[in-house]
Amino acid sequence: MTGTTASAATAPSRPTAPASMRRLALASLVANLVLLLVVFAGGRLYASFGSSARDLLVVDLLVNLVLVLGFQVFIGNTGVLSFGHLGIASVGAYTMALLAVPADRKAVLIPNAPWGIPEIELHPFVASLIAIGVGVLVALLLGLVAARTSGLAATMITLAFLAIVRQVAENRKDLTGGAQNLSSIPRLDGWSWALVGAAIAVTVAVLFRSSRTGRLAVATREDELAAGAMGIEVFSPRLIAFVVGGAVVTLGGVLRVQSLGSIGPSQFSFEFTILILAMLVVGGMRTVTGAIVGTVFITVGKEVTRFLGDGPDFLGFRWPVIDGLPDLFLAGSLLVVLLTRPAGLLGEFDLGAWLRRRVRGSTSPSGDSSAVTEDEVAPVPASTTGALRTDGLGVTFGGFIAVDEVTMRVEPGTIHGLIGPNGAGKTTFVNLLTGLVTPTEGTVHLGELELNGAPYRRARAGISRTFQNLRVFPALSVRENVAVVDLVAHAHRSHREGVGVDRLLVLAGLAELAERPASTLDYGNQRRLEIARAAALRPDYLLLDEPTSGMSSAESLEMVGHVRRVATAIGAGVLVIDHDLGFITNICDRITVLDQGAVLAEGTPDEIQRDPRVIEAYLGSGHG
Amino acid sequence: MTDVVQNLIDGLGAGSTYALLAVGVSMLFGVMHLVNFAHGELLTVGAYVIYGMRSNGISWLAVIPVAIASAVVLSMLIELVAFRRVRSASAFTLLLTSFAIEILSHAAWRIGVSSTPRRYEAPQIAFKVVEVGPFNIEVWDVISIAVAVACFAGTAIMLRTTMFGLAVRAASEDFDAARLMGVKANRVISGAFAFAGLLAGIAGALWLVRRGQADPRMGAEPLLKAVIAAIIGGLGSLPGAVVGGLSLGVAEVFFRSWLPSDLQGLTDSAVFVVIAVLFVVRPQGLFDVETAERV
Amino acid sequence: MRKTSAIAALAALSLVAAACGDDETTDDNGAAADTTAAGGSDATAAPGGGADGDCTLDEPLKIGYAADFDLGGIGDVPASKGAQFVVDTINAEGGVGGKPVEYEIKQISQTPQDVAVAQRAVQELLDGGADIVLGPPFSDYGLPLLEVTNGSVPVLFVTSTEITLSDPDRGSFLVSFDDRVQGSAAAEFATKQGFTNAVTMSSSDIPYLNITTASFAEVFEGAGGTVATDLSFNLGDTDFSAQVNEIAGLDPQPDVIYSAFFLPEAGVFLKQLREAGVESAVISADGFDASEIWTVGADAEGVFFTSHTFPGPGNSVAGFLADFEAATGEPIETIAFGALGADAAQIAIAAVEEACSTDGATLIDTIRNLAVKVTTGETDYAGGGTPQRDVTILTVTDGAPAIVDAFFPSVVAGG
Repeated sequence: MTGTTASAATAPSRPTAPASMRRLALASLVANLVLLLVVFAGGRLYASFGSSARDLLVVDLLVNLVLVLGFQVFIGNTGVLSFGHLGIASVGAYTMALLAVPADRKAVLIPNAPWGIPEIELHPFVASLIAIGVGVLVALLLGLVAARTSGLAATMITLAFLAIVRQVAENRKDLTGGAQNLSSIPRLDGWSWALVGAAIAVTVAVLFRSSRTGRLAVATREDELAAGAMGIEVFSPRLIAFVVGGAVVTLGGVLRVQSLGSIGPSQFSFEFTILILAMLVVGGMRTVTGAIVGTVFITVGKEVTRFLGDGPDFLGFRWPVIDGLPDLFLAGSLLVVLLTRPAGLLGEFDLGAWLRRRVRGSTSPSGDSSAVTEDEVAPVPASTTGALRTDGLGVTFGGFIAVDEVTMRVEPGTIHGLIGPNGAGKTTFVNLLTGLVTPTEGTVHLGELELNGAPYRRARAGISRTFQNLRVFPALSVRENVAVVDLVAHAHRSHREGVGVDRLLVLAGLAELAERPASTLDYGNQRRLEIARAAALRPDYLLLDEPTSGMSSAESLEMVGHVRRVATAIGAGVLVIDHDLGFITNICDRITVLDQGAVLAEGTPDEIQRDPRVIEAYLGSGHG
Repeated sequence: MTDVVQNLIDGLGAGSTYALLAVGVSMLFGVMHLVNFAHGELLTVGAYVIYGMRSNGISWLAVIPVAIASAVVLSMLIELVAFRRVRSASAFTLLLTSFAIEILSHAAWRIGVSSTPRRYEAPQIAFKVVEVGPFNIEVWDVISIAVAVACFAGTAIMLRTTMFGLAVRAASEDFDAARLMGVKANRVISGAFAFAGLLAGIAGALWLVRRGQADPRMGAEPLLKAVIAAIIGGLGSLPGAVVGGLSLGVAEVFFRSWLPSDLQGLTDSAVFVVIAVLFVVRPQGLFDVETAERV
Repeated sequence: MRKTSAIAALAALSLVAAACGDDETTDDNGAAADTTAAGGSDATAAPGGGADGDCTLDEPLKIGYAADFDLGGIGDVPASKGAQFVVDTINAEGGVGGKPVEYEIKQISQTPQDVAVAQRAVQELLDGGADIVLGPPFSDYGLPLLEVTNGSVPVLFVTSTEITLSDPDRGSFLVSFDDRVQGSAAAEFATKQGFTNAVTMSSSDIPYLNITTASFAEVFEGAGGTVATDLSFNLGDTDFSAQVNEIAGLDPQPDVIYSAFFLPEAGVFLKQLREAGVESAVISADGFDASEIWTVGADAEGVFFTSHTFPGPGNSVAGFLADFEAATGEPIETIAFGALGADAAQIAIAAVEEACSTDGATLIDTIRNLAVKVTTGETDYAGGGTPQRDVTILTVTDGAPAIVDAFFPSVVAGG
């Protein structure tokens, strides 16, 4: 479980909690490198009992592992499926081949190549370095396009790229030799280079995961929308992951063609991408350990089925020659894993994190934080940004007026309630404030600053939020949920004093649960975790969307105290949305009542409770 | 001008097959956000059924319904065995599952039958040409277009008048909402697979009658075209899929006749570039049925 | 992504195979390869080398078949059986050099195409002591395979016609003619028929579809003919209306249409062509043989195609077919490729007997200068990687292939 902990920030203003995170990264790095060595040693042992073809198998496995880890860096950390990375590897590998194939062979294979290529004959190592540079450049260009989109669109763009690379390779015969392949690439002998390549890939993948960018990317993977609301911009981490992954796959591609001695358009094909993805997905794409295990599993399985398919004398029985047995194994194992364990055989398991937990035993994994008690939480200075106000804010969905020219004002340091029956437009209003929905009219101001643009910009400007239907980062630990936002605060909200991850967890009553995956928390704890996460951004205003939804009245009452404590501790104003009049009047300094998208009334809790229009709206609509 | 009209007719004939497949692809995307790369395997099973029955001398009139039925059955079977289990999984998992099924199908045909193609004689009617004024009209193009139009009309009526159609439309328009509102997901999805299988079976029949050969990987190419068509038309949009399929068919014919031959090999690349640009410029436009995620 | 191209590649590969018939019958079962050591097979022939029978090998000859049973299966499935049959036959007669010949098949093809697996399979053959490797039809596997053998043993690409796989310096040999030769032969045949006006069709999907067409055009125009236009198509196409309409609109109508395409594309094209009323002759290449063009029916009647062999008095193919069926109980799938498999095994055996050695470098030199009578007739490497063999011209008559002519083209395109 890489990066599930980020503990022991003693100084609240140093939010990156680097010591613990670094230790974990180190543990993961060492453990995965050792695992790699174990796999390698196993392979060597197997090879020592057989023909030299087994040496090739070990090399093949290591080189494929580099490719798998390249995909892991991007797909595993961003959750976006890319088909294009082997296209990048292909461009890099062709670059390497064109620079390194001996001139006398090029005179035969591609005599009409442009740009003086037939005369060039670089040392393979130099050619490889140039090729990786080219791969990074291609990854950057493609990434600029692909990382801007998300989900299926990114997948389809990368798929199109892969297809284009192949077609160009097939059709630019003067340059690539077309489908006839380009051979005589200087070959690497032995296995040491493959081991070095794999070790580099493991190192890059582990370090990327625990880097700032890696953690932000993982947050976007877990929940893109919530990440945006927490000030995490999706594009940059995704682009960087794309490029780093591109560099690793290019390394893999360059090594691969040097181990094979030839390259053709069909070598880094769509089908080969599926093979590499199968290795990644079967093992578990989220961790480096999963990538290693999956690569070994598929490689071994295909090798065994290939042996059986050749009709061996085996177990005292002459097996028939079967064509396509390894394919059957590949498809079968991929399908079975997807249907029964979609997160892969290992899921979130990382050898380093697991060993570290074992070594530390059952002692509180966050010893430091348990030392922090609630009493010690001194409030940070209140925000001085000014009021959060809307001016005639409204939005229409295809003729339906969801929010109708709402003008309201939340004063700094106060708790302001927004109430209304179901369907009154409360959540839409919050979405307008935070930028998830674009208004058709009106403005939002935070102090003097007009808020517009993407949600992450508004979050960085000082408003963070929770969600009505919970949106924690499910696979991340409770601590990392908060810590990753603290990371953002450190970068973009440093003018405000932070409370610190540990104290936020203590405030939320989650210190003891800090290392658990957020998805395993119960409902109330997830609610408090969301509030702690939003508070970690050091906002000027905290927007709470139905924090008591689904809670009993006792729990609601508890939530009142909790929200007050948090608001005081972080010095933020609060806008709380609810349909529970009791909760709202209990907690708020002022209340705005929304009905059918428009402001019905505004005032203190007492005024609101007495307002006949409010009473009518509530009783009339059958209080939700 | 004669050329243009002639090309248009040829292109619509080919495009109607793409469109039939694309409507199925798009419908499945609508009900479960799946881009089903296993959809092309429905053509393959049809081809082997045709080969098996024709080599036993059974009449085409009997062969075609059975081939179509085999596509429907396989489509429902794939849903039951595989996609039902990952129904609410991410688009990522769904996509990979469909690839796994595709590879599995290829391997199964190779092991079960052979890697080498199986051939049957294509009937002459599939190539008949009628001269109408300056145009050479292929009877099969006319049949293809007519069958496709009938299918599209049937689909439209089905969508408007049946509960199943209503459910499919609801799911396509707001995937999450439909799920929340408790549309009987299993039945709707299973029905969508059956319906998409039917359209694929019909498309397959139109295509296979001319092709004259069954081989393990034959489904991949037309499916790719169908996915491209569905993307052009906007995944999840059924009218879009029809438009996408027909325009792809027409575009191919025009590329073929107008582009210089040394550029012909790159026509697919040109299509891919267009698609990539579409996705970059208007990702939400292409998925216009995919409404904003609920918060 | 382009699965088509993979399919196309398969199809193309299948085209390549073939063996050409020549005169002079070999003995009954065609298995015995009596070497007629060509004058060229000079120095390098091993010391004790000489006529068969005199030689005693220290260790048995081992032939390894690196087989592509997937896309190359059209060639390698029958060829591997043909080779097996020859090995079994000669072993029944006492083997080679006093020891039975060993024969092992390793599959190199997987989906996804994985060159690393192919190389491993070939390495296993070498580790297992293979003295001669029989190779797959297409260069996508063939060239990477040569990276492994690396000139240490001869590789015979049994059913291939790819020019790049003929490279004797690296120990790489074809068993039949290459694509330039069959394109040139087709042009010469067309000229002989009095055709002067041609249309060609090509595709960039696989080299086969371009090299043949270019060779045809070069020789045809060299002989005074005109190629009116070259139309392009893609593998996987099932509608050729555009091309057919263009041909139908030509004035004058072409005498002949040449393309190396094969089924299923060629079947659709032929039917559409004839329906459109175009009467031009159609000439194609060995892909027609590989994909059994006659299964198309009436519209395949009268087409011509270049192929590798045909049972006849000039060769022992008929005997081979009969013996094969008698021994295994079933006919071989594709005549030309099955016979080429037999040829390859016979070439391997002849080379070892000639050299009386299983040393790789020696065998490479021996094969390079080998002239030997094999199942499909006389084959002569004459110092190169591609044997000089006649191209057989076949036609389809009454739903079956029939021989029209056999010759080596007087002019070969592309030097």
